[in-house]
Amino acid sequence: MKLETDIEKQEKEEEGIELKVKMSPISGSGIARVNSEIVEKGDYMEGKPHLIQFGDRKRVVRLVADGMMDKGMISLRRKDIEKIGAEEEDTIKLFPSMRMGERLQRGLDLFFRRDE
Amino acid sequence: MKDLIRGRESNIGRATLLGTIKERLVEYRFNIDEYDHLGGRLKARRNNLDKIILGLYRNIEVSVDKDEETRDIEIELKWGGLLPTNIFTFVFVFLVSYAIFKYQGIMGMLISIPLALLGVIINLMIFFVMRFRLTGIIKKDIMALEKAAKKKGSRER
Repeated sequence: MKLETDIEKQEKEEEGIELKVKMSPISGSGIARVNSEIVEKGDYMEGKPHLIQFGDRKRVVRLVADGMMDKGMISLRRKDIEKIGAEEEDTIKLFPSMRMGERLQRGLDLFFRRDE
Repeated sequence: MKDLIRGRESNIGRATLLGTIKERLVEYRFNIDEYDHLGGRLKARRNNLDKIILGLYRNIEVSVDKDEETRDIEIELKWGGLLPTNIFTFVFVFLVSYAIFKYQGIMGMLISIPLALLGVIINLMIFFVMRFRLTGIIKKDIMALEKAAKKKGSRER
């Protein structure tokens, strides 16, 4: 079982980009639109699931890159904004896409914690 | 196969429309190959193996044109990949059913052909459902964008 040190935990918390919320007028959920520059960084991939966080509420969304999107902003649909308890102009955090190994690791961590 | 969506005196910009269509395509699990928001052109495809087997392999080319004088918009959705996916589905279903019925000899082959044709028909039905659903949802999105643009315009006044 992997033991996380305080430094590793802090490093993990520092990952992610802060973006201001912009409400999308279209219906549905699970999609977030960001400026193309973010996707060009490499950790963020178009079409793949990413985590957004506001306070202690998290949600998985898939990213769409758009050169016309304002920098520093993220366009979310109403349902997603309501689920994380945010409002327009609030600042949320976007985390890089999780690889399968990381998702499994998180699932296992939760499983072992439940046993304790 | 083409779909055409027209709008009159639209307040939405070409780039905004194309961005919204791109968002919907990503939501429908399309991979974006080309995206030119200034030229109003987009190319996307679905070619994951599970999508091919389920008959959902598709190419799409989207072009958005806006007449600056009349503010009329025209969105063209050009669908491709129909023939390859039907051939693939036919061959796949034929081979699977022949593997099951091969002990029946020639009868096994005769049973496999109509089953493969049935697979192609189901494939086509799934395509038409997806096509009409996507076209309908894009029209709905355009109306939502127009509403939002009008609200923003009246707030600024």
